[in-house]
Amino acid sequence: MVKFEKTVLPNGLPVIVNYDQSTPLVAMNILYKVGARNEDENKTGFAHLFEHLMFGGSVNIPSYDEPLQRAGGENNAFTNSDFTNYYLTIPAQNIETAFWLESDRMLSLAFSENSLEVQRNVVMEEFKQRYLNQPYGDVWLNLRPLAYKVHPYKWATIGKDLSHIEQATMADVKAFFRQWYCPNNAILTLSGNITVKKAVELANRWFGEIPKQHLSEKIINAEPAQHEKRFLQLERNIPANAIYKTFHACNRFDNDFYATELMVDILCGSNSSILYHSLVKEQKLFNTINVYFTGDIDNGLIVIEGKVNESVDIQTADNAINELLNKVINQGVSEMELNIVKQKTESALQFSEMNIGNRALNLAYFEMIGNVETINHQMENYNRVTVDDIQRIVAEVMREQNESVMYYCKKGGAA
Amino acid sequence: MNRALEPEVSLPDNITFLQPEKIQLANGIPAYLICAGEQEVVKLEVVFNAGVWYGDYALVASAVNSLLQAGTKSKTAFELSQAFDQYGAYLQTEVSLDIAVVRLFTLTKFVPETFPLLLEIIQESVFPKNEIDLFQEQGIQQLRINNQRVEYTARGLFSKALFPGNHHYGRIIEESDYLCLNPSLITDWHNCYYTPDNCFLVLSGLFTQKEVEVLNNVFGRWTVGKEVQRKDTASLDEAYQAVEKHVEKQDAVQTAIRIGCRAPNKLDEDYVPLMVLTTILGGYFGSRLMRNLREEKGYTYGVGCSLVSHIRGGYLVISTQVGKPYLADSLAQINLEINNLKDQLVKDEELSLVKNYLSGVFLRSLDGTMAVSDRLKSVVVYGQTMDFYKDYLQKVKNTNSCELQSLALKYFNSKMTWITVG
Repeated sequence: MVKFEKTVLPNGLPVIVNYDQSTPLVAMNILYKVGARNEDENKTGFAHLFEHLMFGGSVNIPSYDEPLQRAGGENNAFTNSDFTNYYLTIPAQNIETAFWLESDRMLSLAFSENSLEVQRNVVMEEFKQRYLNQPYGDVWLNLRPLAYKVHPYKWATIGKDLSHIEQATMADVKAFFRQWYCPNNAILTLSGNITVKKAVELANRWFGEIPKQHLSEKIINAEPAQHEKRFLQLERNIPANAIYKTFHACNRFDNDFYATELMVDILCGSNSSILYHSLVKEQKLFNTINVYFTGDIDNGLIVIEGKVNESVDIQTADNAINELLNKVINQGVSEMELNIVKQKTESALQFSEMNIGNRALNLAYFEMIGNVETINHQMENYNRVTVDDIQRIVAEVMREQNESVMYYCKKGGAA
Repeated sequence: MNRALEPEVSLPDNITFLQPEKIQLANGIPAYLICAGEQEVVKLEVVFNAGVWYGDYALVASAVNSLLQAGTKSKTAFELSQAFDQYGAYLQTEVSLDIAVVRLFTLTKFVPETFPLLLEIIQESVFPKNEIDLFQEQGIQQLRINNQRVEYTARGLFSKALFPGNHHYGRIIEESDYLCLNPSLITDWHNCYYTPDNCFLVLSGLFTQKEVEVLNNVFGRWTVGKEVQRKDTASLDEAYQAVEKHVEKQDAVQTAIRIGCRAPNKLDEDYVPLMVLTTILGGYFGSRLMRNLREEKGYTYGVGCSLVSHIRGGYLVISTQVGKPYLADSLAQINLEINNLKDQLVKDEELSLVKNYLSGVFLRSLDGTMAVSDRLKSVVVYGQTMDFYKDYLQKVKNTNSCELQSLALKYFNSKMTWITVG
């Protein structure tokens, strides 16, 4: 249970506060409702590049980091397909520094040419470090465009091509800022040792005068239903063959969202789960196997990924996954299996609420998806899920026609 | 309102934090209790002096720790996993150079069910051949993947250079280290190191006397038949000599860099001021190396310098991955930043910023029961108590620039090891 109060400033900025006296700190989280899904197909990677530029100084403050560090604070940010999130923690007595810094960069950036030039390079090195210079590093760069043909989830947050980052201009940066960085497209949350009264007062003082913007109503193209299985085989210099299977699943607002989350946990959430036990322990076909649900705002993917044991034929390994899925489609799962994952979810939720940073982020996330109240009703939603729901969803989603599969193979060792 | 004006800031001179209560269970196991919070959950950690250091075989400590979940006298691995799962409990095992930890996360209401399960996997573990086989297969595959990563290779070569010869901190894992594991090796090691006289407990979260009684009833009754004799492993240290080494990787688009030297651990009086020095150099986002290599030149996604403490010696290390064309200049810039610390006094403004930043880090590191339990563990293994932190902040604040310069001259000398891979 996360206690909170919500106020909306006249300029449209929601301010949500969770007061916790037991900590000497405050966590502040600012979520901007813009991610890679809002990008132009010819300018991908922009939301993330922009996140880097947010640290290059703002209109009245030359450096973001220095004053924050001087106040004993620490911060970071991340970008995904759906949103861009900035977060910090700071000793409670210095919270005004956080309001000062965050409001100034919402007001306007310094738009320094040098910062753009340097951050383009930094992002290109990030691209190399994460995607090019790692075994299996480019998996998602290939898997996304296989699974999505229309929707912007078809490109990675870092961008689909380094050239898009290289070509970013200051004009692009300014336009992006004007379009997305404004109080009515952001959510401010605080958790920790700050009263609601003080938080709202400071929010009004520092954010209140930032003008509201007209928000773009650009429609994001929905991904059309998939009608036949897609297949891609890649060869790379890697030590073990791997299989990646994706299936289109529901969006964040769908009634089946919570059931889909529990379903992947039943399939492969622990060493006694269906897939792990059979494929790794009993049949010894896979070295590792994982199943997860991307859980994005728009229709997400269920992903099954596994590294195949050395002497095993990749097709045989793939067939074994399909057989297990078919078994679940035909026989369903037991009440006990479902209760186990509900119990695990309950304790995971409790543990995640211990941390002020998590609380601030989760409040912002639930506000973004439409109703911050939902944060305290998650368990009810999970508890409503039945074994019939699980069986139905597996049958609806994990069909061959809805599948994109990638065999990621060792060079020279054909599948 | 003047937006150009920085709000005033202040930082506490002293920090009060949750004080763990130390008790002794019926069989003598020390247990630390850290109780606070709102969520009805607890974390119970069993910490053994059973890290990598103690093993004559490089992987025996990791194998035993990881295979605790592989089955007990009365339950298979599958049944154990299900048993923890049904209470929504999570089990983690972790091995470092010095210690081995078995960690349980559970809802407080299930403590009576889950604590006995935790003891069962520690006390009654069996190590079936098929589970050892799986540990070997999974480990070897992961090792092959890791060996393709430039940073993994650099880390291994660096540790070897710092702790050469037979030093157990400096072993580079090879496939043969997996292949030589066998049931008797593992069972013997388990019998020797996973005993009540070789561990302590940390219980943190929200609980009452009732849960403490369960703890005593379960772990307090744990006994072993006879006292075990453990081998002395104290004399493995060989003289450290600086190494400079480059490993070329044709396909790599970035080069991993690791530069550093031996340094004292947290019991030494140089430790706190040296931590201030490494923070200035590369310990936070605004550090000199981050500003130079990332924010001015764009050579890297990130660069850091940290001071690492282990019971039998520590080290300081600068690490980064840079675009291949930038390697030569990156090394020159790192050298330049090191020399600046030796040649020039750190200015007051920078030093006070770093002191403030470290005060914030310290505050965060003691916020809440889970954080305090981590801090506590990291001093208890050195034979210390939470008193260790009493004057810690004061030591940070007392550090002055002359002292920092002499530390730079003392540690950043010709005995630095330079490793590059890529």
